[in-house]
Amino acid sequence: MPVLPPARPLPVSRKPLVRTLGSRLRLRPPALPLLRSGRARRVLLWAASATLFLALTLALGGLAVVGAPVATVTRVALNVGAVGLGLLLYPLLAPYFERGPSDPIRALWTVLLFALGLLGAFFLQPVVFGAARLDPATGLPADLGAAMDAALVALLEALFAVALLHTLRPLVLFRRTIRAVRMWGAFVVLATLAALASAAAPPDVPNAWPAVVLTVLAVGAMIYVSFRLAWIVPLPFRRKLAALGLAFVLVVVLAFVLVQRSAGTGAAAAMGDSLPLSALFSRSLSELVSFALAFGVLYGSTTFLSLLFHLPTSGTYEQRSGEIRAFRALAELTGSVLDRRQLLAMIASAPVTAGIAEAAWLALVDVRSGSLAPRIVAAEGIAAEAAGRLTDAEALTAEVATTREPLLLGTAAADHRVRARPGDGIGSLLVLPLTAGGQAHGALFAARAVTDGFEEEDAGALATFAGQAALALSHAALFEDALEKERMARELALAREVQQRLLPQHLPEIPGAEIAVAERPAHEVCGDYYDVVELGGGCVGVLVADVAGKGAAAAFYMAELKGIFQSTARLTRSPGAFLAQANEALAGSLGRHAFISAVYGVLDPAAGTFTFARAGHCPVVMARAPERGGGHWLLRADGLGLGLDAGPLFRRTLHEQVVHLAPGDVFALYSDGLVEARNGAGEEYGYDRLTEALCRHRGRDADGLLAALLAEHRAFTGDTPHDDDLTLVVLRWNGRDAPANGVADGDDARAAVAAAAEPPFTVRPAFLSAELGMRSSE
Amino acid sequence: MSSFSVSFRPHAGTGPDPGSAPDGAHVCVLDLAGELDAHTATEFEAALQKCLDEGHTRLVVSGRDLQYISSAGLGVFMAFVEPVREAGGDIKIAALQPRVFNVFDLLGFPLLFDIVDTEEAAVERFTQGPSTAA
Repeated sequence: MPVLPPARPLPVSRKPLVRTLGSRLRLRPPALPLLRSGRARRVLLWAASATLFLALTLALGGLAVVGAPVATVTRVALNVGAVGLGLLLYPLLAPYFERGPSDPIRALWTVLLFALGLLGAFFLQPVVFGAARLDPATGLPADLGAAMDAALVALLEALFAVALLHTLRPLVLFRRTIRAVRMWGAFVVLATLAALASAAAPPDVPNAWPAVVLTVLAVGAMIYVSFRLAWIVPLPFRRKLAALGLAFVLVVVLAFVLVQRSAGTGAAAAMGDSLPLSALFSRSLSELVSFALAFGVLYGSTTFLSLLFHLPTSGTYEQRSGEIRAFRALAELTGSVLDRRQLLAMIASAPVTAGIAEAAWLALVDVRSGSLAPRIVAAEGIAAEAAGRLTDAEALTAEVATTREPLLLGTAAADHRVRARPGDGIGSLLVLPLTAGGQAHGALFAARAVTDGFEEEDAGALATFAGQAALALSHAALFEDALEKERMARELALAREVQQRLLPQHLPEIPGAEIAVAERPAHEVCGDYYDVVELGGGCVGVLVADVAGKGAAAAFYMAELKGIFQSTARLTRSPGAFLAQANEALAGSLGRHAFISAVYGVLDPAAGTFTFARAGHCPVVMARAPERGGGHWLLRADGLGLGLDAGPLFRRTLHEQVVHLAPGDVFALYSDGLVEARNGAGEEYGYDRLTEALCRHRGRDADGLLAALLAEHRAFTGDTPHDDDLTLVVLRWNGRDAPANGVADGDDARAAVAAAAEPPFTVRPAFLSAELGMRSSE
Repeated sequence: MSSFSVSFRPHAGTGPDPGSAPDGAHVCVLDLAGELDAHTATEFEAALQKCLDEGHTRLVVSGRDLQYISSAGLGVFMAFVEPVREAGGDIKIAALQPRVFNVFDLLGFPLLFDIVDTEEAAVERFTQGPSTAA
């Protein structure tokens, strides 16, 4: 028996095709320890087969020499033994046909070679042994020579039959189904049973009805398995041709073998009857071989016919599978490209490269561009500008984004969203949604110049591709984001360092007042800014500002504000004048998104006043000791945020608020991060809690008050992540001298004490409408 | 992560052609919902840009379901009011919740924008001629 070299794989299936009886036997735990070793088992099988064959041959030879009629039991035993030999050969030969996936051409070729070999043996047999005869009286070989002759031919035939079954089985079970596997099993079992049904009869007696019924059933199963020809479809054209030729020759050769067995050189000459020579050895085994041969002829015929019908469509199939392969390759490629621009070009060109479309383009929504309208970002086979002009990419993208289904316009010009005329190259249009992670990113457009240029499979293949493209796009976006974030993080860390130096490194000593400051950035770079500067004449300016937005831009604006503050704050003791000045200085440089809210207070210890102007900032919270009249106030004089209005509106609306101080007055200047901070339940900290806390801790010195306010704030917000910067400046006025009897207080302060809960401040426009210029405080 | 959404609809006017202000020009209403902060501001920005691109310049921003606005959100209003007004339209702000209105108010937005109680009042303002704000 030739050992087959490892076969080439079938084009499509990746599963091993062969799982024979032998391989299944091997999976079972063998009864004997000896059988656990594959090699020992093989040797044992060989030994059993050889012993059985020799025993049968000798028994038959002995009976032939005796020449007496044999008992039915003996005949049955001989036939069962012969079928048993066939069944032993099946697992014995299995390993030689199990070397990986097999190739259909090679399988047909193998069967053909074996068949030719068998035919050759048929022709050689009479030359070597002479004619073999059946003794009609006993139903046994006429003599010892005939018995040996028949035994040898039967063995060859059995080997051939087993080899044929092993070779064709993978083809039958290509793309196996449970039903196919069962039918194959049924065929083998029914054929065996049919063969055994006639075990009691001499070779030249016609079959009894049980044998006929079983034969019919076996033939039914044979016909079913003969139509399992799925392996034909994926074969390339040339290989189909080769298979066609081989199948034809195989059918002819097998038919010839069948004829030769019973009528020609391989036959035993009997009384006017022709029997296969092997029937002299065992009628049952011979019938089993007939089944295998018949199956070979039938399978060869169906293969031949099927190939004949498949040949004309082979080209189309090949083209289609070529396109799909190209697509797969592209889809895999796009998955590995992270550069967005390269990826976009690749996606747009894929349908054209694969030969499915003549033009293709990609429309994407990019929220970062600040627009919800999809833009054509890449095109192949058509100019992006032309694609945009000829189709309403926005409406079409919107539709597929909603339906999540490919949109096929067979006659593109008939759709109102397509403005193409004949000759523009958009006869039919396929629009595929690009959705990844439940989000619609845009659409892939594929166009052909002819109308109805796309088939269902095109839409299917392109839709699969579009899905992968969308995934690749979102991966690329994630990658880009990650890179961007890393870069930002580095830049922000640098900006943070610079920013930290912009904040005052130490606070000035103020006679009669204490000041304490806390700041906590939410991000690397904070939009909050505070500064305290001595203005001369004992006056101190306290500024708290919040730049809208975060990050590097906020840091730049903050730096600018710092520059303006440090350079111009000393020019005036009017907070309104300073803020107006700052607004005008900033107007030129703030972007149109950007503005700064600020509150600026000037403490004049000599006059006992604290004067505020508020440019869109949170109100200053003030609390007064009960012995000084008590009370708490939110000081919120009118004022626009810096950068909101570059014209006279800012000055016209800005007001100053003058607080006539009493010893023990405390003030909190802060950024919105303090009052807008939320707790786990989503509640804002709010002005009321801040005011209440300020009142309660009013008696402490500035540092103690600051610490108490922050502790209460932290207790409220808990572990809630803060997403806004927080700045808190606390100012406490102790009075110019020992403020025991209030004598040291200014007149206004005394008036405030007298008026108890009357607001201790006056509000005035920062500028009189008559003089909108810079107002000097001196 | 904060949630935010912005949606468009033409104002359902009383005229024969719904979506038209009495003088025939279209008023587009943008409904804001959720939290408008630095993360979600781009979405609002994109929505306003789309309005501008489509030629809608009479915009009413309805804040009935707006829970929170940060300075970044306010920045979007500032960024778009100029181009919208240059195009002959305006952004009017309607139906803000008190807490959100307070944020607008602190910054002085009522001086720069028409901020009214109801969407209808905002649409009404469009018929009374140009913006009353400076």
